Amino acid sequence: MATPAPKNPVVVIGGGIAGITAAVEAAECGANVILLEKRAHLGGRVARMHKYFPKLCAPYCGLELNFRRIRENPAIAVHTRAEVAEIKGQYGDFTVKVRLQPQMVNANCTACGKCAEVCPVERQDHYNYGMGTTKAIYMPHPMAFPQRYNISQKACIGKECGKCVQVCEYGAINLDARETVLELKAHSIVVATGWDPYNGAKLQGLSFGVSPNVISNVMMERLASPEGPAKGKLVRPSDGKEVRDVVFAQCAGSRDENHLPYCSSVCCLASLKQAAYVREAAPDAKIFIYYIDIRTPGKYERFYRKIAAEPNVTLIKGKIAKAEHDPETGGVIITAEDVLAGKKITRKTDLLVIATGMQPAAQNGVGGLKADENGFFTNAALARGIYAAGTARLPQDVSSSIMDATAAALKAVYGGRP
Amino acid sequence: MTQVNAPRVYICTGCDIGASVDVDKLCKIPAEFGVPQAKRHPFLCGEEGLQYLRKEVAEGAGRILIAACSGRVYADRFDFGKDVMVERTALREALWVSTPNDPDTQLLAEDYLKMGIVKLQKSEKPEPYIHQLDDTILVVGGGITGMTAALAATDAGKRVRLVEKEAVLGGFVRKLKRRFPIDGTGNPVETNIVAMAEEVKNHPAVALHLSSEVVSISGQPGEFDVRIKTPEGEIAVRAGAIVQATGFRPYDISKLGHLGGGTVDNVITSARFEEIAASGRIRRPSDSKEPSSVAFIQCAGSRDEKHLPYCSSFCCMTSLKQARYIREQNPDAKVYIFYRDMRTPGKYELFYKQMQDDDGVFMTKGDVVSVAGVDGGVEIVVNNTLLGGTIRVKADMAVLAVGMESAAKNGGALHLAYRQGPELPELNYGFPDSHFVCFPYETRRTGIYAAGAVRHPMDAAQSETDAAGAALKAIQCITLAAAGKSAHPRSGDTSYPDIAFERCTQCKRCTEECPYGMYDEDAKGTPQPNPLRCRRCGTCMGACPQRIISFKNYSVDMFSAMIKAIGVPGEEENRPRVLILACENDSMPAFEMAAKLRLKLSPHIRVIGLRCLGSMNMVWLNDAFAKGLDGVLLFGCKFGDEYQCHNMKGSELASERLSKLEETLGRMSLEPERVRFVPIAIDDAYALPGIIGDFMKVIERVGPNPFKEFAD
Amino acid sequence: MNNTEYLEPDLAFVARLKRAGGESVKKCFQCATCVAVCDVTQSDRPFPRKEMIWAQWGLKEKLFYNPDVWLCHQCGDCSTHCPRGAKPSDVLAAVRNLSFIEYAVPGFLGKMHSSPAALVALFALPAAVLLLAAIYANGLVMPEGEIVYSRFFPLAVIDSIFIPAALFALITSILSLKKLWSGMKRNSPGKGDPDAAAVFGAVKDILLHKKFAQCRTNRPRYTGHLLIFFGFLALFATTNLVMMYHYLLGRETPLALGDPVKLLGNAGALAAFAGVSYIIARRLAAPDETGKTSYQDWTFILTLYAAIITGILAESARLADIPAAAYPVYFTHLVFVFFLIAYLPFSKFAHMLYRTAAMIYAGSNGKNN
Repeated sequence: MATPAPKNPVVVIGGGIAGITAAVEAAECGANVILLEKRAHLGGRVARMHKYFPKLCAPYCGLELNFRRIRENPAIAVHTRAEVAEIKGQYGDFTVKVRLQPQMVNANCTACGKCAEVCPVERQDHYNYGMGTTKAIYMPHPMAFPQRYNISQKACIGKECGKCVQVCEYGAINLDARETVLELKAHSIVVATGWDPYNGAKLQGLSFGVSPNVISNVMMERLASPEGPAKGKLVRPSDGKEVRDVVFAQCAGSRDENHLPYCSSVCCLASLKQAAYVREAAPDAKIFIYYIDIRTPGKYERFYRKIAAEPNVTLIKGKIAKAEHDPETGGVIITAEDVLAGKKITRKTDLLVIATGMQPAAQNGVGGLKADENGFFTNAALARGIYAAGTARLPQDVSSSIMDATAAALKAVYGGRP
Repeated sequence: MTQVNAPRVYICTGCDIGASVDVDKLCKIPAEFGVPQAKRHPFLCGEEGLQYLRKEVAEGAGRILIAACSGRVYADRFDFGKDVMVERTALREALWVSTPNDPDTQLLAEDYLKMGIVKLQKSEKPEPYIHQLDDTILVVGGGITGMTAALAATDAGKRVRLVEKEAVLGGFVRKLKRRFPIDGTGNPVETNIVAMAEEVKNHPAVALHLSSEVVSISGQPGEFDVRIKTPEGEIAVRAGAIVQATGFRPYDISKLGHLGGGTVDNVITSARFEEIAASGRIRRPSDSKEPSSVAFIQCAGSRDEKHLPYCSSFCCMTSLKQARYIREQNPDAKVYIFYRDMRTPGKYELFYKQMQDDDGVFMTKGDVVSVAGVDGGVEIVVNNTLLGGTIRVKADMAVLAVGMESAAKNGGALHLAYRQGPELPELNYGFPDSHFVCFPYETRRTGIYAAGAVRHPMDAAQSETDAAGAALKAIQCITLAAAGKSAHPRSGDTSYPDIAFERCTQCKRCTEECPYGMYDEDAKGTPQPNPLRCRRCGTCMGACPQRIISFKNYSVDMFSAMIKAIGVPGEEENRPRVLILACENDSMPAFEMAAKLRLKLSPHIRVIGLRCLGSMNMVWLNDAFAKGLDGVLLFGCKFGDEYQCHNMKGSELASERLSKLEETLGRMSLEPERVRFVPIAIDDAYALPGIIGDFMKVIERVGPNPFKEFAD
Repeated sequence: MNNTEYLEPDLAFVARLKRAGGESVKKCFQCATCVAVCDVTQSDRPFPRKEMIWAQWGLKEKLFYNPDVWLCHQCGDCSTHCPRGAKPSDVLAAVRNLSFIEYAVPGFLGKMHSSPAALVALFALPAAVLLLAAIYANGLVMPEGEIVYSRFFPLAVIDSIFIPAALFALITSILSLKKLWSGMKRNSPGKGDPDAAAVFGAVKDILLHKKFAQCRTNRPRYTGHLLIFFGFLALFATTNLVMMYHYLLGRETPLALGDPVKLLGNAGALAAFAGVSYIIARRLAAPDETGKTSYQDWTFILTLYAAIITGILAESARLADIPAAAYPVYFTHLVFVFFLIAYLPFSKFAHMLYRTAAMIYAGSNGKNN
């Protein structure tokens, strides 16, 4: 009793780990899939992680396997720099209007890198959360997929420069490329638009954006990464000094009705993981994690116990609600209560990592689909044939997002209940 | 050697390849192997280059070696249909890590070209193993996970056979009064489990066996033979894939004596409390009095090395929900919740917030020291509270929020008639889970997927998601198997192992080592392959001392020939040769990344990618040293507790095989330092120059392989 | 905590506390943001996080007899930053409001001061006493000629009413303070005896308004309270100086406008008037920053305001020579002044006693920053 593959393709919005998983799993069931990603490369947030908890393994390991599954499966079409403008129709017969940003670098690109050598424009490196710069034509990561350079339209000075066009031997660059609009037919839609880190600057009192040595947890991932702005050396951003003392502030924005009322689910584990980075890069550094509740559900408890037992790692119940630039040392002075000891403490530290939570990236909706008051999509509220997955649906970790995306793939291919 | 379909070699000179080596010289290499001279093109991956290749194919090229960029890019462009075999030699990447126009670089390029030609010569097009398969999904366990999986599969048009050991469907959720709200807002909600059970029961595509158990399962995906003991007797049926959704057991309260478990009447588990609440008014066990105060003890057994070292994930929300029951029943009642960390992730936080705001709910973090019976009620002593120090509280009854133990812990669910054991292999604490962050359904028993709380501690909502995910994987596995394709991680691979049984010595290495339990054994110990369980890692091929296991496009002979194709300069040239056998999942991408970063590696290495280091056959080391190579590096994934091998045990098995190496080397009077296993992760690109450089120093120290002069 | 005692949450107390202005108490989830942002708290056993959980559990003994409740100045920084919408500064203010009742000896006066229904009775007493005094002094006839208030209420009559009132306030204050002090000794570690340095430190902090200066959210109150505080001190000094003029120097009121004592009194009145006006305006305009204003707050602020305004009006009417206005206003002024003085330990006015005592207690027991 074979189930025929749907006539129209499954359209997956978002090329992060949830979207990639949904696309690959659906395609391996025999469906045609179109994967849409608004940035120039797939991988989303996880591509920017240095390591995953609890195995402390590299996200690119799984991503590479998935990229291979995409490359080798003709049933999957990928559009990058593609934004969904409108979704119409119903289950089995949706029309998805997609704005394709100008494809100034085409498929001829061999990623040889000569264009970036001659490009005269430096721009802020958003992939590294503003730490460091790239050329206006750049690859965010050596293994980025698709293996193709991207031009920042904002930064590029255009045809009057044209140096990249001249140097490219493969005719891969066209600075005249224009935005185009695609109208895709879709059997069903998976919304996997992912998350953005909460803006630390909104957390008054934590000096994010005031002191360069107050960084967010996602920035810490880049700092720890060998491809990051510090080449993996764990140093103080202000002066490149080796860190001797690192403090993590949990619930920076999460569980806070002035910011994100929900728990972002991953930050405790993320900070424990980052404590492991510090342990590796600076074994003598003192590490303090200030928390409200340590949330390491299920078997993650094992990881918590492992890190908590490491030398120089101290966990303190009490939220850091104040952090100030220390003019004397250039570091940061944090204030919190050590609740269990009944002491109010101030501590001078080299680096304060604020565990900013997840904010849904499509909190204002996508293509006319509405998100809930917290910015998440709930399947019950979406029309039949549209399924949310990953952090677009709930704050959840990578593994749960993948389970979710796999479930969404089933519904998307075969038309399940929400 | 005359070949029906001789390889044709195409060298791309783009991406600086042409500027880094003497391409004319390279073009002459194929002749050494009886293959026509290589053709060159400035831009093979461009439209013009592809058209050129298509023309070549049209003119009869059936085996193509593309000496250009790595096979990791443009696989789609260099795909000329299923009848054309394409092999890629990553000249570009090899040159990126080398010094251009250096004699050593030229030798390197020539060797890679030779290896590519030999590989293509030794390769055959796999013929997919295609059988008429059954696509029924067998679901073991009729709780919320099993029923969700069953309905998801029927929605997908599949037939389902559901086996439940109890007389009714619904499992644990059926005993609940209500479920906590998924989005954290509002009241706990109806479970709707009875309606769901009715739907399953009446579904025309579901064959339901209540009060039944699986007696045995044999066979392979699409061809599982299942025996089920039903009240009417034992039946034998077929299934295509299996979802194990056997759920969990609440932790045994009698093991929690220090918390009054099993000894104090008015100390009960949260599961029991739920049953009481579901049956009407909440009354305490000792005297049926409606309690005016109830204490919840969180982490009762969970997060405790002496009991369950993990967190059971659902207990905080359960107690908050049950606190609501009590407060609804009696607005003057007091509810205490003693927690270690309040764990209400995601939107559940909003429910915590709701319950916190209830006047009659008193919570504190603390370590519960004891729960004891006193004056007909209970007394609880809690240390390290937020109220300051130790407190002592009295309540009418106490509820121990006991955690979950996987129902798989003591086995007895599947009774697999497999060589490697009757159940899904467990991974920590009795949960038959996958270890992969990225691939949570990466099962070690192809076609059998655990879902829900049996797999790891999770609540009902996540179990429902998991059930749908597992249902997809089950369906996908049959879909792929029906097309003769492998499931993850080599999804789509149509090769499978052939065994030359006549030379089998029944040593059982393959049946023991296959990470997926693909081989059963007959009474004499002869392997009985089940190709549809195979995931094409090649571990059996690596394990086999007789070298009788091979794939059409991946064989011991192929790699031996490739190793033998490596040019070995004489000792006087001072050009050592080191063979690197590297896992294609992590180590090969690490090399590729090193290339992209233009890191410089020794020009004396020759890298061969393997499906998994587990497929490394020891004879290749013999071949390498016999040929005169000076050293061998084995790059595989990290193994141990936090293993990173996508085939679970491949790298571990390979490194175990090395333990027998000294014997081999000893026989050849070679130093053991000439072989080294190094765990490599994908992000180790930056470490490669150091790792390889160090090894080259070792080789320099131990000196050239004395076999060089005897090599051909 | 005594290990043999059971902790018994008091639901009724929680309800009372919520009614008294602490309705957000249960929202707290003990993250301790409040402690981190509070610049007033000491660092050893800081507040208000622990007070919040005590309040949630209805542990009134711990709350009432805990100096930290009084060290809190309701800056509101904690309430502004609380991630859960709990308002610790209001909850502690509510605890203090209930403390006035708790400490009060005799207790019924404390209760009356928290009950709007008793307000008329509380005002009726001074009104009746002063009315009887006026009848006794001059048959309730407004004196002819130049307005001289001592002709309406001779000083002896005033003293015979206000000195006993002050004595009553003094004795009940001592009794109430004793209750607080012994309670604090019962509940917090330390020897419990005041030391001179602590007294000196507390007085210095109060005079300098050091704690108020540490507030951020409700920083403007520093100015308002400072004006009232020193205005009130000036008026208090004026009263005593006038008495000295009378008994020692035989100089009688009204004093000349240029008299230093008169100048002091007028300056004090104006400062206090400005201070109270500012505070009222702030409480009306920016309730988020000032925190909740309870019944006791309003009663005290408005009584104080009324006493100041009637005082200023009485002087103005005298200078303007309008007897028909002057004497009734003066009478009213005395009623408000009586209310303030006689009921001092029962109204919010008592915060000056309890807060001072708590600061001394804390200082004496090693709880200075």
